Amino acid sequence: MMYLKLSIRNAKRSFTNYLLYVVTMTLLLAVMEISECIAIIGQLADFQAISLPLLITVIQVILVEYIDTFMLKQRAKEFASYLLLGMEKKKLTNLFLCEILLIGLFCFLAGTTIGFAVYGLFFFRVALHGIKFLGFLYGKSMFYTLCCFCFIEIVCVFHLKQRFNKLQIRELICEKNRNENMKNKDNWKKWAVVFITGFVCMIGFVCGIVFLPENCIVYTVSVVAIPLIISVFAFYKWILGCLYAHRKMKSVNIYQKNRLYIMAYLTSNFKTTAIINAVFCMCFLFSASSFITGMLMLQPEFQLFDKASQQWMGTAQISICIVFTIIYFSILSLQQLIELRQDSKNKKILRYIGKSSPQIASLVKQQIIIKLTMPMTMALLIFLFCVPLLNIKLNVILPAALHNVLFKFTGEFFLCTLCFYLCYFLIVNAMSKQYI
Amino acid sequence: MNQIKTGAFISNRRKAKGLTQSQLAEKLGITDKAVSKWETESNSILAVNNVSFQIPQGRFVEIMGASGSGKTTLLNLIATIDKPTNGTIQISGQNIVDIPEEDTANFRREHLGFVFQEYNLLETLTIYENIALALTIKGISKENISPAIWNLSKRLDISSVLDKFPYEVSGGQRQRCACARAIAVKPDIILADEPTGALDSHAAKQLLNTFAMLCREYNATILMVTHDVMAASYCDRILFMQDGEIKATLNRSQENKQAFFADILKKIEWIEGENYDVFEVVNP
Repeated sequence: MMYLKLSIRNAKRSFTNYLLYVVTMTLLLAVMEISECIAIIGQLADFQAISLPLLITVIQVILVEYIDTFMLKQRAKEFASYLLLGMEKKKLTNLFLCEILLIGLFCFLAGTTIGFAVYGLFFFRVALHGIKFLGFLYGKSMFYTLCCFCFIEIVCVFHLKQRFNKLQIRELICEKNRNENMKNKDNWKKWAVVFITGFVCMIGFVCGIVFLPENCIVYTVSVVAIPLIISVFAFYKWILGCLYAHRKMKSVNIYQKNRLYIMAYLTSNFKTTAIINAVFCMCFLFSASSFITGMLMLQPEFQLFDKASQQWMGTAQISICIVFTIIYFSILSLQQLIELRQDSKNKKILRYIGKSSPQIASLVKQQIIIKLTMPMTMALLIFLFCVPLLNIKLNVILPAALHNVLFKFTGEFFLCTLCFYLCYFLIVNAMSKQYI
Repeated sequence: MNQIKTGAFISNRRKAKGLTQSQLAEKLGITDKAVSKWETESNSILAVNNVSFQIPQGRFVEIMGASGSGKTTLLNLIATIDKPTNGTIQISGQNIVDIPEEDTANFRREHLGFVFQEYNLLETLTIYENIALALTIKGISKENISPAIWNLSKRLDISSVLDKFPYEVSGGQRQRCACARAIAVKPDIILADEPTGALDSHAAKQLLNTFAMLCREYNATILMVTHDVMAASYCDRILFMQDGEIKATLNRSQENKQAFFADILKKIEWIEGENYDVFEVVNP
C-alpha cells in the first residue's frame, strides 16, 4: 500500500518527465482505437484492415521503449538516492514499474475514449453498414486495443526491468549524462553497405511492380516492405554513425559556428536517435501513402469498389494521413521542447563562454529544424526514386484523366506537410524562448 | 527577494484597501514603524558597498568572506552578469558598466574566462570538445584549435582524458578542463567562483597549483572568490569582504604558504575582533 502511494506521489511530481510518455501513449492508443474500429467495420464489409493496428503496435513498442529509457535516465539519480538510503533494488524496480503501469492505464482509458469519440465524429455519418450498436463496436475495439496495450506494456516493462536490474548505484548516478559509444569506429561503413543494398533491392522491387507482368506483381508487392524498412533503418544508422566517426576523428571542419554543438546534440545518443528517426520516417511514409491512396479513392474517375465503399475508404485514408502527420509533428515537437528545457543549463554555459542571446536563439532554431526535418530525409529520397517509377505504372492502369496523378498528389501532400511544418516550427520556436 | 518590489507591492495593496500604515500594523499585530520600514527603500540591502580595488595583470587575487558578504555579487558585477547601481568597473581600460546589453556577450567572449564551483562543462561534449567549443565561439581558426588544446592539456595534466566525457573523469580533472577552457581563449581576467568547493583536498591543491602556474607561465590574471583559507594561501593578494565592504587587504611578501596562511588567520581574527561590541565583551 505504501509503495502504491509512493508511486502515485512520484508520478504526480515527475509530471514533466512523464509528459512525453502520456502524450505519446494517449495519442497512439487513440489512433489504435480508431484503427481497431476501422478494422472491425472493414471485417464486416469483407476487407482486411488489420495491418493498421499491427503497424501502430510496432511503432508504439519502439516509441514507448525509447520513452521508458528516457524516463529512467531522467530519474536515475533519484533511484540511486533511494538505493543509497537502503531501499531494496527489487522494491525500487517494482515501484518504478508500478508508476509506469498506472500512467499507462490512465493513458489507455483516455486514449480509447478520445479515439472512439473521434471515430464517432467522423465516421458515423458515412457508416458503411449502418451499425447501430455502439456498445458492440466500442466493447470489441476496446478489447482489441486492450490486448495490444497489454502486449506493448509487457514487452516494454520486461526490457525496462532487465535494464534497470543491470544498473548499479554508481551507474545510476551517471546514467543521465551517459553518452552512447561506438565500439567499432568503422561500423558506419557496414551500415552504408546495408543501406545501399537495401535501397537498391527496394528500387529493384519497385521496378518489378512497374515493369513485370500482372501475375508476378503480387510477389514483389508483398515483399517490397522488407527492403524498405531495412534501408530506412540502415540509412539513419549510417548517417549518425558517420557523424559520430567524423566527430571522433576531430575533423577540423566541425570546429566552426554551431557545428560542434549540433553534432554533439545529434550523436550523444546516436543509436537511439537512429531508431527513433527510422520510426518517424516510417510514420511519414505511411502518412504519405495514406494521403495518396485516399485522394485516389476520392477521384470520381477511379472506380475500384462501389461508390459508398470507396468514399468511406478514401475518407478513412485521408483521416489516417492527418492523424499520422499530427502524431509525427506533435511527438517530435514535444520531444524537442523537453530536450530544450533540459538543455537550458547548457545554454547558460554558452552565454558565459560568450554566445549572445540572438546567437543562442539561432542555435535553437537550427536544432528545431533538424529535429523536424531529419526523419523526412530518407522519405524524400524514397519519393525521389519511387514516385516517377510508380507513376509510369499508374499511367498504364488508370484512365487518361488520371494520368500523372501521382505527381499531383505527392505535390499536394508535401504542400500540406509544409503547412504543418511551419505551424509546428513557429509554435515550438515561440515556446522555446522561455528556455533561452 | 527584491525588497524594493515587495515594499512597493505592500504599499499599493494597502492603499487599494484604503488602510493607513497604523491600521495595517494593527491588523497584522506589528508596529507601524515596521510597516513603514517594509514600504520604504530604507530596508533595501546594499550587497556591494563602496568597493574599490585594482588588480595588476598577471596577479592571483582572492576575495575572501563568509556567506552573504557580497563576494559572489561582486564577481557577477565584474562578469557583466549584474549591473551596478552606480560606480565604474574597468577591465583593460574599458568601462564595462557602459557596455550595452547586446554587446556584453562579445565582451565576455573577448575579455573574460570563467571557472565555476560546479564545473559547468557540457555533458554531451568530451573534455577536448569542451575546450574546443570556447575556441570556436571566440573565432579561432580551425587549424589552430587542435595544437592549442594539446599544448594546454599537457600543461594541465589532462591530455590522457581528452577523449572522455565529463562524467567519466574525476572532479579535479573536470575542474582543470574548466581552467583550460577559461585560459585557452587568452582572456584579460579569469573569474573563479569557489572553484575548489566541490573538490577533495588533494584535487583542490592540484587546482590551486594550476592557477599559480597559469599566472606564472601564461601571465594570466585570476580573481578567485572563496571562503577557504587554504585556497587563499596560494594567492598574491587577498581582499577581505564583510557585509558588502572590503574590510582589509593582505599582500603576500616573500613568505612561504604556511607563513602566509598564518598571516591570513591573524587578519581574520583581527577583522572578527573589530566586530565585537565592547559592551558585550565587558558584560557577557
